Amino acid sequence: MTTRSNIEWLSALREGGQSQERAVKELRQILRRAISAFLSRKGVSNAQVRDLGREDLTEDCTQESVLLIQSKMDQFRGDSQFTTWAYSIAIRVTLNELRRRRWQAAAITEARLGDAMPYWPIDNPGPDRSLEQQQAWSMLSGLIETSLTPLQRKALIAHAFQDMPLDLVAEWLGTNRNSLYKLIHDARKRLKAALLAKGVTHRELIAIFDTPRPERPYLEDGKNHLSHGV
Amino acid sequence: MKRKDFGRLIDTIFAAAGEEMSCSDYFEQLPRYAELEAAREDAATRLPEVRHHMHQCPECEEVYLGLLEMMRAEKKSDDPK
Repeated sequence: MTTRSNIEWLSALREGGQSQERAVKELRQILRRAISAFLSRKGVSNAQVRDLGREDLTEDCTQESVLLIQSKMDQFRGDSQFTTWAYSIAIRVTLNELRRRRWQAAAITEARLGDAMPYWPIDNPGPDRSLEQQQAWSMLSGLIETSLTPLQRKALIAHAFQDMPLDLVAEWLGTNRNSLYKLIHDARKRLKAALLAKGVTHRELIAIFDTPRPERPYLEDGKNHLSHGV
Repeated sequence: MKRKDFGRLIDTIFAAAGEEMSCSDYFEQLPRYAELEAAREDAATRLPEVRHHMHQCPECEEVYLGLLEMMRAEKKSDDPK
């Protein structure tokens, strides 16, 4: 672990000369170790790293992270450890790269991108797809077709149903991540209003599909701290 | 999509309300949030907008979980054997 304070990190990385070289070297070592450990962990698919190799991927992500950190130093707020902030950039760089590779492997054709709603939204639905589930999906997919603007629909289908990463959807639509997030947020609000207008509640829809709740290991009480408005 | 992801999509539709924090604002506050969580302080209550964005944006949540992993690995490597 580093023994540098935040101020020491910032001044060393800014001042140039040997002091800067040492700080960059130390930062690179810290990030490289963290990225390597992350890529080695269980849960990061071998398929995601095999085409370039773990070592090269680690090196590329480390290099990009260090450059980004150096270019974003003015954005460090100082309300956390400098290394925590640096890790937050490194993990974004690494996950972006993994998502980009996964998306490339998915090979969705340009013609279908953002356009084709799936016949059924869930992989391997099993033999017991009920009439109630089919009716609920028909209603929800119908609302996606009729309640959203063409751009909202395109963004939602590409991201939610075709698994295109947000940054790549933004690039594809000629916008930026924040504007895209707002677009998807507005689409959700429209869908929520349309569902509630039909008398469909969150609880009912979840029960129909019997969808498991995502694990939240960082919430010790296991509760969702949000109000879902229903 | 996986069944749990479809459930998450339904969750995010019904949790959408008002104006939400952007991804950029989220990333600015994330290091502080993660340190509060690591210190077992109630990060969700102190920074509810961050917590809400995390719920609404699975990619941003994945960044948070990865960040916690990196912080834990660092702490583990620092602990005396």
